[in-house]
Amino acid sequence: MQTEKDAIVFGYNEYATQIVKNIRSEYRTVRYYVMSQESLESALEQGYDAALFDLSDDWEELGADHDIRELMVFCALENTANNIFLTISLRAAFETAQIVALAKDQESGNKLTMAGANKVIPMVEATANVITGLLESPVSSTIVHHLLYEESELKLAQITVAENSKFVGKYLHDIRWHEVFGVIILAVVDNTVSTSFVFTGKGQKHQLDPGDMLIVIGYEKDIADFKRSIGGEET
Amino acid sequence: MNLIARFVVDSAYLRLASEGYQRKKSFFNDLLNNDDCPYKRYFDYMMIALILMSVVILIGEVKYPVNDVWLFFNNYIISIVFLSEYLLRMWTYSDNSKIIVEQYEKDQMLQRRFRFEYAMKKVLLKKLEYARSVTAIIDLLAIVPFFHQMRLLRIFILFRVFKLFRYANSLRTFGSVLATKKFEFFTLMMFTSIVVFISSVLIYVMEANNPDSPINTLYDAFYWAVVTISTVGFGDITPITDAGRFVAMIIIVAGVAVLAFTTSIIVSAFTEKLDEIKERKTVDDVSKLKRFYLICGFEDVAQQVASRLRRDGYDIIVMDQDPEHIKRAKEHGHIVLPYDPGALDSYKRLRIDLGKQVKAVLCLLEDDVLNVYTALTIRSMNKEVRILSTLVHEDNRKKILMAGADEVVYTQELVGMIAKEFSGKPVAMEAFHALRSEQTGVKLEEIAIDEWMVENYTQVEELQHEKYHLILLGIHKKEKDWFLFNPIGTTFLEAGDILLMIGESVFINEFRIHIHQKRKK
Repeated sequence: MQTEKDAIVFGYNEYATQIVKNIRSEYRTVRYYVMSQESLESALEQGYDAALFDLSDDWEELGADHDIRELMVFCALENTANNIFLTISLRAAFETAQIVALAKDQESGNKLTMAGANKVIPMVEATANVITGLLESPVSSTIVHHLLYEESELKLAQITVAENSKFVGKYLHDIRWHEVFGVIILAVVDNTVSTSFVFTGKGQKHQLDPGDMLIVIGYEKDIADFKRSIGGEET
Repeated sequence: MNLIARFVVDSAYLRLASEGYQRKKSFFNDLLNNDDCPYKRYFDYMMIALILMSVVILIGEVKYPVNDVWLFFNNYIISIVFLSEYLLRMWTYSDNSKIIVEQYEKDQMLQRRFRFEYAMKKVLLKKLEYARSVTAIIDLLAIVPFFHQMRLLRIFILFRVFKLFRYANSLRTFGSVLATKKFEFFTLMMFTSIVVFISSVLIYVMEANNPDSPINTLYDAFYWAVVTISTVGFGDITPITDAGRFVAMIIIVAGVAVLAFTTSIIVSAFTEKLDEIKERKTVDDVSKLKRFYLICGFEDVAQQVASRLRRDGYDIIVMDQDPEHIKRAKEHGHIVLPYDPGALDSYKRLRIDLGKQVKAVLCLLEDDVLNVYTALTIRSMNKEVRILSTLVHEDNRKKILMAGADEVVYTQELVGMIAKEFSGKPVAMEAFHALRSEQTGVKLEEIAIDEWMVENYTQVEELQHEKYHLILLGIHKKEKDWFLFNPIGTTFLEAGDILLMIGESVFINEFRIHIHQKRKK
């Protein structure tokens, strides 16, 4: 589902390529920011939108091109120190931009967070997680993988409860959602931004309010039906 | 060819062709010499026990009368066991039939008369080669008490103690380490012998004629010299003349040198061999492991994977050649084999059964070429073992799969997918990640259904998992390899099904106990 947001990806390597490949459908525009003329030509040749940048840039141009509040920035430079420097200079220039940065390990991850990244993707940890998952619990790993990366008909969705929904005021455990709607509600995110899982004591006692966000797993059609019933919208 | 020769050749062919004979011979050979043979350990323990019993009886006999049954056991039973072992070792040492047949066929090919005597000589020489080895001589001496009832020969029982070298691995290692320093020990022995010889003659000449001196014979002098040079110095015999004391001073200084030299030889022998000994021990330990993950390469990802698997109670073995990586893996407390994961020889040295002992091989080197090479090496030895590999460049995916990897994990792709998560449904993804991280106490777990459970629980609704506040995400049907999401209550359960349960880990554990307990009833 495309949003009105723009995304920019710093770096031109296999990581950046994979990021662009995966997020392309999610944004209005996606642009590479590369450091060398050679990379720029290569990216343009492949049909991507690309621009040159320098670590010493003051980023005014970036502010002029995009609405910073709606901008998603991915810092995927190969050199860790450069990536941290880039993150910190972007954060210094734009307080509100969403910055996701790649980190090789925990140590650079911490530094990137300190430098102002909203999210850090720890590469080594992520790979190790997938490998151990495949070894220790192959079935659940495969299913979770398909679910997360939308490679199957099963979908993960977040649905907001509407003001006028008939379920407002109901307790989560009052309704057997999985039997009635064929979807499994995993968690509920309160409009006061605390997440609770349905199966925990706190989740059981949760009373649905307008604005609550439900994390739901189900088939596309069931999710759509469920969404209609609860009078909410998928975000 | 005379009749006897004919008979010998015929029977040699018969033995070579006989499966039963060869099987028996190879069984005994394994039992006596092959460390990998599962029975060898028990055989060794039995022999050690017999040796110790023999020595206990010898000691007991010195002052107290020993029961006739024990004496009979010691003199005959134990001796017969040892004799049988000696003969079996001699039998398995060489293959007579093969020597005879080879000689016969060679002579036939060269169209000359079969040289029977020459063949028999070769057979005998081969057996003699065994009989002349130190261990065989010790074995033979240990049997001697059986043939002679003479009191003095009883002492030969002590030779049985030397047999321990054969059965105890650590003693064997000790012996082999010292054997590497033969030349040094020989030099030292020569030096010591010369000093002892000169000192004993000198002290004898100086002291023997002095009536006050306790040294009267050359034997006394020799005894004194040995006691002094070893720095033991009992003090029962001491020189009294000035000249004798001077000799004593020289031999004491020499003694200190001998002692220091001996110590340094032993220490240096062990230091030089230490790595080898440790490596042998590691290989031994590995070959005894029942199920383990073999991690090839120890870089960043491997380091994390290894720690997690260890934490979750799995055995892992790291194989890497890079000294830096080896050091790091050792610091993390892993068992490390300093071999090249891409070389066939590494696995041969390991003596492991890839199919039976290895749960999966993880090629986690940060180089596609090496991973392909490793996967190919493993596949060439075993078609079944699961191979999982990381991928550095997308272009090489096909090559790694062709080399035999079952699964490929490509970090860049993962990063791309995670980036998508953040872009699409960040809240949902975060909730899902919380489920998978360990801090929340909430888990997604696999529960396997076996045949016994199916007898008690035929349908999903009978599981009563909701009592435990668990959500059944779905059932993985093994046979059809498909996932049944959100199954209805009347769904039938089958052996081999895997339930994916989400809930608090405490409740999941209780649920597990609940379904297992009912099974017992």
